[in-house]
Amino acid sequence: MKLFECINIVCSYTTIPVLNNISLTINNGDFIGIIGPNGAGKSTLLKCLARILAPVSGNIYYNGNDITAIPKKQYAQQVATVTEIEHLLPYTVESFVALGRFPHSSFGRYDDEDISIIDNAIAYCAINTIKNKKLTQLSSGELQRVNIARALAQSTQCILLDEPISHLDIRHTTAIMDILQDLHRNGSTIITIIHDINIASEYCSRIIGLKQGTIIFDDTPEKCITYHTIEALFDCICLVYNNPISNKPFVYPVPGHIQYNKHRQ
Amino acid sequence: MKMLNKITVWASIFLLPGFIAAIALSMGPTDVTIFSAINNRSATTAAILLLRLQRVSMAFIVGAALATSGCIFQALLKNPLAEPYTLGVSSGAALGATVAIIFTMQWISAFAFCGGLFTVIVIYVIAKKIQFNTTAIILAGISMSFVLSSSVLLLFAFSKPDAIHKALMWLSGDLSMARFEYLQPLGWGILILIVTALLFHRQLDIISFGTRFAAIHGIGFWQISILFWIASLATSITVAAAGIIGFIGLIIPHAVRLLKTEHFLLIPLSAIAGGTMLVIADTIGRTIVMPYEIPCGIITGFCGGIFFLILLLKQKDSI
Repeated sequence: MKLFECINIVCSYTTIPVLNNISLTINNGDFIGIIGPNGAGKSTLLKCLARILAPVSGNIYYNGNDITAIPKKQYAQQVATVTEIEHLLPYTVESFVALGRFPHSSFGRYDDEDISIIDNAIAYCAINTIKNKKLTQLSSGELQRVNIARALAQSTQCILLDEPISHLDIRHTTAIMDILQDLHRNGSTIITIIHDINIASEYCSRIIGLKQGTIIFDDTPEKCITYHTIEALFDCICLVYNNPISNKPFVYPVPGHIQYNKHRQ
Repeated sequence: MKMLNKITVWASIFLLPGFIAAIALSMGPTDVTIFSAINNRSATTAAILLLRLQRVSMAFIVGAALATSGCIFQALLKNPLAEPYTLGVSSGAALGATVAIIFTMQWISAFAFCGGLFTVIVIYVIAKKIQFNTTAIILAGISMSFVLSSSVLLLFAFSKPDAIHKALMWLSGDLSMARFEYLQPLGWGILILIVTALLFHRQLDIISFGTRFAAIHGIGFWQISILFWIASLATSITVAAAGIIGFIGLIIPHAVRLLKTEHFLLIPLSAIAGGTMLVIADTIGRTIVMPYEIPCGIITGFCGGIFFLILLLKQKDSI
């Protein structure tokens, strides 16, 4: 079933388009990883889906309705977004997660159900131990988990994430991706921008490669992560193996000092 | 122990303003205190106390409105330096009042209110054009302030010294010139604005985390507009009633934020603290060099500044 349908979206901050006539269909239950070089338009695409930014032209449909026709609050009840927090304030973790419940409340009042959903979100992301800490005291890994818990409190069908695992160590990376995978197994649709291709390959059910505002490829990791596509996407030399444990494609970007030439082999 | 501490804190929050108001009522050029009024119920004591009560209530209302407005502007503009006068409301009101003082000597409050409101409308139109880009709004406000303040100075250049003195006293926030006949509607108006702001406490929480953050929680332009108008109206009203009283709107929300960050408590606590602070400042202003009066705007600027510097040094990590 179609969840999102983007038709010919064009987006630009100045006169140069950042997204160039993108058409895209996202189905219910997809776990999508958007990859691509910096400045390819990944965040812009996500912002359009999150309604932070309106495309210059083209339409986005959510469940068959044009998203500009859906009231913003109602939209926030169905699509949650995790992006970097612009102004970090010394709120406690618990009260920050509670903000995610706002789209479901009237005049900001929370009933018992709201509070139990907030508690569940906190438990789900395993941040019980830090729930009385201030946001400003958290490490970036903890902060990202808290931010995801806030999105979970929105109890939406779909979650959009902008680089949820950047700057995190491997333990926090897997912890966060495991949370997302668990959500995906429970029927949520996850769309995430991701820079680590190997993590994307392990977890995502579908990979979208974006370059200069156009979609280069869009398929399952097994089909679309090959060295032709990845080299074309990033303009760099890399090798693609099969991960012996998960049998998923595994990308090795070749460092310059190794001077590897694949044509010689 | 912690529980006891909490109870003491909360009790003092509500008892302290009452205590301070009682002291403020008991101070003045004539030797009438609350206790003497209990023993001696003459008409003169009652009249004097009533006059002082009006003055104290006016100070409290104005202080509460300014602190609330400061709270809202700091959230909306996401800038710790934002305050009720950031957008130039004070300069607009100053121009209005100066025009009234120099040319007609009456309708000062009405002119000041219109001047403030005019500025807000101009800023609102600009803000709408630039989709509430906060940095641009602040810059627009500062530019407006400069234009309007220069106009005030230009008027001063062509005026008589006594008119200039009167205007200067008004500009520095003088509660002795406050319009006490409007005390009641003023009180109700400010109370309604504060309660409305309180209904939007979660929006304020969310907005203060950023524009994008507000968008992903479904907060639209109309909610931001309402909050903008609540804060602007509260400021314009206070400026019209009591002139320009600086610093309350800046320091009080900051000081209260050290205690509570959620707007559900931040707004009422700021209102109480702002009101109390201005009552203290006004009482000092009217008693320190009796029978002369120092405008309370000067006191708030002076004491508030020093108080805030101490606070900053003490809590340098949490601001």
